[in-house]
Amino acid sequence: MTATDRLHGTLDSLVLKALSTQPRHGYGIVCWIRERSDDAVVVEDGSLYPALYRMERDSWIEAEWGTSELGRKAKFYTITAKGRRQLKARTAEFVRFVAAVSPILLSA
Amino acid sequence: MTRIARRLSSLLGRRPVEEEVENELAFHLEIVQRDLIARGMTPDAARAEALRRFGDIPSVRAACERLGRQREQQRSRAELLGELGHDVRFGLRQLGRSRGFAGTAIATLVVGIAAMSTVFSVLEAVALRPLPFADPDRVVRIVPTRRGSPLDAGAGVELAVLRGLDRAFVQVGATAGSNGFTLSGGSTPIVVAGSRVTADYLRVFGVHPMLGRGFSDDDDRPGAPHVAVLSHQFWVQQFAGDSSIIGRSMTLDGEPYTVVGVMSASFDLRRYGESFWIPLRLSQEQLGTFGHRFLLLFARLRPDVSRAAAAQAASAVARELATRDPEHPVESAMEIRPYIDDFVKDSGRRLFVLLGAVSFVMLIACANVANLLLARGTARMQELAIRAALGAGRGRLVRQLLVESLALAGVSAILGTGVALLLVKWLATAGPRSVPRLDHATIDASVLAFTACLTVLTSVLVGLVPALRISAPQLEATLRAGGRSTRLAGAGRRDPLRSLFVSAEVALAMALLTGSGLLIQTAVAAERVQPGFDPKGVLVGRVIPSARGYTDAAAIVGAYERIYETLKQLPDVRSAALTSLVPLSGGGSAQTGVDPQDHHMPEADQPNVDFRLVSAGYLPTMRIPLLSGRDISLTDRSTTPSVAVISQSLAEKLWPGQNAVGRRIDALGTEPGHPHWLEVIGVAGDVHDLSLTQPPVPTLYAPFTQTPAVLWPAIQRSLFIVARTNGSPTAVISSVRRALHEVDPSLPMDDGQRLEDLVARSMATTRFNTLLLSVLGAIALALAAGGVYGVVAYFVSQRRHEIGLRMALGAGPLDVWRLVLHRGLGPVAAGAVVGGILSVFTARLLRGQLYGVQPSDPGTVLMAIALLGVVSLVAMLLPARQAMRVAPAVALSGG
Repeated sequence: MTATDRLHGTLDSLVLKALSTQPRHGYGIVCWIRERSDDAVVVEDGSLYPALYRMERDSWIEAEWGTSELGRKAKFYTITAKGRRQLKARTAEFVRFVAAVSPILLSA
Repeated sequence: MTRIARRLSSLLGRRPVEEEVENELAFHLEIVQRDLIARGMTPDAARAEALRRFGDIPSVRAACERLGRQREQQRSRAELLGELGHDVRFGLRQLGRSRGFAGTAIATLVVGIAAMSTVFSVLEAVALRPLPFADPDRVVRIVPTRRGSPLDAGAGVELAVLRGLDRAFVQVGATAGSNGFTLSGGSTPIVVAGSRVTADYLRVFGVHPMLGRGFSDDDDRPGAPHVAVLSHQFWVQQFAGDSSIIGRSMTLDGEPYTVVGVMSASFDLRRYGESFWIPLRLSQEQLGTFGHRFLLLFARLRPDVSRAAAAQAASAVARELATRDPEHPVESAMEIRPYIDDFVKDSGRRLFVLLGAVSFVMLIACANVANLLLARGTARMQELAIRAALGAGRGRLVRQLLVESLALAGVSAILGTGVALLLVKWLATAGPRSVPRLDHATIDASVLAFTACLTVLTSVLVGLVPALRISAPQLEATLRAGGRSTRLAGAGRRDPLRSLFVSAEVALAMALLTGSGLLIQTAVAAERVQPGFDPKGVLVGRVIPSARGYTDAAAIVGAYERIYETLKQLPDVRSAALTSLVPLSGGGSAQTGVDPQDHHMPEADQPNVDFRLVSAGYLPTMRIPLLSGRDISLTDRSTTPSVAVISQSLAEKLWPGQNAVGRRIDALGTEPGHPHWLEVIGVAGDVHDLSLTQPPVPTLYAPFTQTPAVLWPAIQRSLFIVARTNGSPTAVISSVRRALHEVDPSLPMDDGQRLEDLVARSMATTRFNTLLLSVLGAIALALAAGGVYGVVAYFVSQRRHEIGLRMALGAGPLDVWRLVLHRGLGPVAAGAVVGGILSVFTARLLRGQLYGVQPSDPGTVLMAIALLGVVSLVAMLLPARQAMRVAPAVALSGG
């Protein structure tokens, strides 16, 4: 797995997690991730939207236009059942990865 | 997807992807700006910062647009599949709801599809499938011709020179044809068929034996040890497929033969083909003379040589040969025929005609179902109008209707294939023997592919016109009118389309009926032909004494004389005799030239005459009339002068209008230059030898006691027993066998059959063909009648109001009947006229199969018209009666 793949995968997982509780628009997702990571993870706007379109094409998330806090229409994303399955799988994979690598990197 | 989401996403779908991306990115920038401003930045700085954070907006936009378009593509594909799936399910549900319609339509299509699949399956197996040889189109038969007409067989010297033509042929081989051999070693000796072939014969086909080997050139030399190659079916039947058969010995005609090879199952091309091959062992002398013509020549062409080029080369060689032989005319040539043509012979052509006939039935079936769909469609106008109002475009409606007719055709195809499976299986056993590879017919991939294409074609044929008609733009008017208006498209007073379909059906049915009529007349005419003998109550059995113990003529003749004596004394045998060949039994013919003494004829002008070696009493046993002179009697022996009885046509040819008795002829000569004189002692009636539909061949009967010694091996020392019995012929078989056993226990007789069965078999193919075409004609007639009924019934149901009105105003049953007739006869009459013209052309296709009737026989056409007329009138009668029963009040109120 290349560096970008890993990054891709992680970004997808973060987005799916963000949408797992409630629908959000793109900026909402960025904010949520920033908050939850205490400003440690900042998703670049430029990488977020292609990822969102890709996940929508693959039916992991669905979109609908709704009214935003600004008063104008915005595109809100919701996670699908397929998306939830993906999230679960990737999370488990991530945990395994960390469990495997941690002893190596954290040992003396 | 939730309903809301679906609705909204359809709204999304309407918005172009570019716009969507634009809006989304714009929103993001705006909200980021707002946040930055809230944190204290100036609007301009906030905007600049927002843009900076985004990165390369154009490439992001491009990526999003690309992904968005992919999303749209996938979505519309899924939607299409969903729609199709819905259409299919809906179509099947609709069929389930209108059982009457579905049942009729499916039953009709099943008949057509089953018939077409069956015929195609047989055609594929018999004529289209390449033969299981290496490069099968390179295998040819070489036929010598004289003065343009092909000869039955080739001579040894011709084989020798053709073998030398290696610029045209890779291999040239010959077979002496199939003969009966006595296989002994089991409890009773049996007769099996085998062929004597040259060593290169099997190599011509390029097929290697499954076990062991083929023949080597050493096996083919005179004096070499006896070897044999078995056919697969014989190996299984006789030796139980024992794989240790190679090297074992079997006794043929008293001689041991070592089995050196077994051919594979794919080489079993005929159901009753030869069981084994043994080397022909032609001597140098045989390869150097014209002598007796008995070889069938086959060859494999060089890869780069065409048949025409090979024929030229071979013909040149034949002409050169002819100059060396003073006896033969110079006009010699060679024909090169593809092996498959020779193998399939007539059957291919007949099957194509049958396929044509079955296509007619299929078209009639399609026309019927199309009419059914049209009628049904009119009833569904309401439903379709609603759909159109909801936004379904015409294309969508047409697609839905086509999918429905595809579902209909699909169900019919599945059922039809099942029926075809049964039919093919039945044909494999019950079909005529003369059709090669008939038992190889199966429903395989090619047949299924054919059926699939047929199904699609059918659904388009059947469904397209109704679909286009029904989805016509007048739907809105329909909706407003409540869907019950009689002004709907297609429900009008004169519906030309439905009448057109019915006329087409009637025309096709006419063509089929005419064809069947011609074939029925052929069969009847052939049955009426007097064969020239009486086959009823006669047993036929073949005796083949083996070579060992019967090497000289005296021994053979003595054995047969004893057999003759014993047979005459059997209780249930009224009369018995022996003959070398039985008429109409499909056996080969033995021919001789005949030269009258009082006016010498050069060999080229001599008629080709069949000869029979018979015992006394043959003519009375077969009930062949003796027209003048006397029959062969027991006093005609090897020591008395040579005599012969000739057939009437031969007497006419040699001495027209004069008495033949007492004259002398040179025939059955075996040494060139030494005439063999026979005195004509009697003239017998003509006998149909080859088939009832071919003219009798001039025949010569000679006493078997006077047979020239060299002829015995040529006919395998074999004579047939013919016995006219009291009661059933087959009951006598065991006593005949016992009689033979008394004479010599080693003498086998074959199974023994009734002569009438043999004669019936000669007509089997014609009869079967007639039966098939008549069945198709009957089916076509029934379907066409159904079509006529449908149209008239529909007309009646649409005009109920008018009929009720007329009856209320005093019209009687006769007037109603006239109204119905007027409506129904029009298309029928038009169809009959077109059909008559069509049958003139289709009847020509049957030309080769007719006997006693011309293809353009007007009587048959008139009969077909009459039959169609009567059936159509009956079909119109039912709706007419229904119309008359309608109470005027009901009709007036209902409308």
